[in-house]
Amino acid sequence: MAKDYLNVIERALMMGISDKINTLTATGDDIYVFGQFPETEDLKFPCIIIQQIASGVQEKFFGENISFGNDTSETGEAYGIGFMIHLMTDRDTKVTVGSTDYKQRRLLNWLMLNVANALQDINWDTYEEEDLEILERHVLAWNDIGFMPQVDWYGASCRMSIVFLNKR
Amino acid sequence: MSNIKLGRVNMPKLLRQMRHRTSQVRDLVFIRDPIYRKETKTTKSGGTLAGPAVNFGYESDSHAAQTEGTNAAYHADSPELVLPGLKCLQSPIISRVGTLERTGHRITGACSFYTPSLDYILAMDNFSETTQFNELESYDKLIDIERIIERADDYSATATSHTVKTFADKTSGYQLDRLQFKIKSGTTLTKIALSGNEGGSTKSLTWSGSLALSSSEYITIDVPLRDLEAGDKTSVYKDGVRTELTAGTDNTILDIDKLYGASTYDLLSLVLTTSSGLVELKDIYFYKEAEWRIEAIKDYRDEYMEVSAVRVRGERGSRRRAYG
Repeated sequence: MAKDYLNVIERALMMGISDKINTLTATGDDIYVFGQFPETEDLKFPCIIIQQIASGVQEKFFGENISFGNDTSETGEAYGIGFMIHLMTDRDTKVTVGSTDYKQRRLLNWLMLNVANALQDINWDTYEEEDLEILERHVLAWNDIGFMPQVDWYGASCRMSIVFLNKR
Repeated sequence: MSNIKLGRVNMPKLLRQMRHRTSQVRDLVFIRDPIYRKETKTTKSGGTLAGPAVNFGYESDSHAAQTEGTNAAYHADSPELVLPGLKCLQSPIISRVGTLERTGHRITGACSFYTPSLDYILAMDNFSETTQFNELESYDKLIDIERIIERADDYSATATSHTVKTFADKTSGYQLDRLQFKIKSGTTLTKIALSGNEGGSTKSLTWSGSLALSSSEYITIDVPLRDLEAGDKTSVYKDGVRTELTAGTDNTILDIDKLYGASTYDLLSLVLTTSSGLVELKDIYFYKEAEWRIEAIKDYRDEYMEVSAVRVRGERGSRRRAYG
């Protein structure tokens, strides 16, 4: 069967973030995760948008044979995939965590830290739809943290990269 | 308004005469969002913070006056303003441009409104009486009736429960943004209830409060119908005094976006509840709104104002119907 690691990782990433972060809020049903920029009519806040921005060979192995675990007969390499994670919330949206209400910049601050935590803590075994071997994950700094006055949105973005074993 | 200078153009008279000949004279609802107070802190573990309250910058849910810290007057009560009845000449009447963006497709537009002079607006009903309004500002909202989707016949009855409209079978609701009507009565309005059939079960959206009406003049009430949760607030002004209405439900809250017009996804009725007495209603509109944000104002003193407005929010009906 043809390998489909990019889709499997992208879907696992979205499921993992949503599953983790929504367990932290009072209703457990507050934060929306989208795999692409949603249409205006479908947009709900606060939301997390996962955008794949790059992928390619990270590191080839000598002789191209790989021997991770029992896979001695396969060839492959370490393959990288890069994402931009965007957070957005509007002026009115309120999320209750514990007994505290979070809005606007306070909500954005909370989201930045807890999405980063979720990214670090994803257990790929739980969400993978095909057997994955994730070698590395790197979450970089949040940037473009700010407010868009035209639409009353607060937002931030960060880059992350994942390196996995591309077996075939 | 006899002491108001109307200028050589006499914009109010011009608007009155033009509105019989063109629909470019619009009856707008002026809305200014509430100014919420900011989250602050005056205490630390085991004591009081030195200096005035620390202002964290983000808003709380309250627009009420704030009296924390040593500088006790830094926030006066500033609720939402919802003032219908602002007549303007609009050009062009509908400006709608579809733009493809990262977030999909967005409807935008731009137009100019020609309003009576500020002195005239300041002397109008509600505008003159509330202490919050002093001038049009950039970023204020002007809500226009872009299209009336459903309307009800004029209504007059002596009762406490008033079924103002019973919708035909398969009447869709996803295009409705707001409800507007004029009401005259010596009674008190306590509830506006819109009910619908969502997946075979009856659900409702109610606006509840206690609004003493007027038996001598019609009051215009304009309330939102979409994207509401129980506990959301809106405002009705009468003689400059605000009455707060709270969103709720008689059973489960209605999401009118889901009412796409099948027999199990349709509107059922509009029912008003008042204290006992004669109630008269007219100009009852369920409408699709155009939300205009003021961007620039040119004030020609005694004559008129030219208000440039942009439309930054807009949705395609097809997607609203599809996504519910």
